[in-house]
Amino acid sequence: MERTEGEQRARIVSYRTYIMTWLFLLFLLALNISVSQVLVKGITVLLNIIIASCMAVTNLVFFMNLRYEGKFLRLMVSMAILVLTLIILFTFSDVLFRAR
Amino acid sequence: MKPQAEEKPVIKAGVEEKDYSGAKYGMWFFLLTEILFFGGMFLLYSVYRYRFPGEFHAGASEENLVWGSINTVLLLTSSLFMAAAITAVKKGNNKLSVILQALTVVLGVVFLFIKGSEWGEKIVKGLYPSSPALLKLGKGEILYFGLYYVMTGLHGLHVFVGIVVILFMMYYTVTGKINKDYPVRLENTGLYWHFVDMVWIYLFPLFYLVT
Repeated sequence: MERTEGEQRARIVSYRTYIMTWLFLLFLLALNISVSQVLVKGITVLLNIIIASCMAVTNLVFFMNLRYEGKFLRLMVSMAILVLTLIILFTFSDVLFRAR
Repeated sequence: MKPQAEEKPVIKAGVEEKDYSGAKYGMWFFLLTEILFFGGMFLLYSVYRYRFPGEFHAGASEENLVWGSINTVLLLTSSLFMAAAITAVKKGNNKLSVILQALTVVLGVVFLFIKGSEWGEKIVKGLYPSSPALLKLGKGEILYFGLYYVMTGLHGLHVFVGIVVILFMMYYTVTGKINKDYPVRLENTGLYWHFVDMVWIYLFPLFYLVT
């Protein structure tokens, strides 16, 4: 749903929402540290990055309030993340398959 | 019939032009360039980590997980204070907002102090770019420490800039330039601060959890 400028400006996010977000981020941080200490190496790196990405998305959606922004802005941010992901994937495909 | 005169926009002297959406979009555009800026460095790190896994593990063993975790908690908490400071302004409570912004600054300064101490420890050990001790190590470890200093250094610079900007915002909040009717300056500063927090969320596992 597209939000008008007035709606976006007037929206007040409650302190409670921010505190819950913070607690959730601390939980994910604790989980990330635990995973690196307990699990088998190899899987941990991937899991660490996945958990870090969950933390980043939580930050974007709740602290940066991307959920209240308009469609265009959300699309723009998604495109930037997609482009970065594609760059990383293409570079890795080159690194993995190039003869040394 | 006399043609109707074209209506001209009225420009009042001394009145500041305000564009809420424009200001917000401008900040987001800037942050998108920052995503690609840091993204390039993350890419470089990933490729070299793939090439030199053993050396990167050895390099990362120099990191102190406790300090890294404390720093992460500090930044996450500072993000909470920054977000709450915006809510306070929007509720018309500028005084509370200034206190919360000050707490954000304090946590940012403590973060930089801890980071600086970590750098200091490594420098005392002779592990700094182009140092004789570092050049005796393998290629992978030289790359690891090079990336460590560049990435954490640039992140630290962003934290420092954020602190300076928040200090300005505190002044604007005290003087009433930031208020419940037009809080966009503080909102944009919040976006920047949360972004800096987000970069650290990725730096932390890459340098502290891969040992």
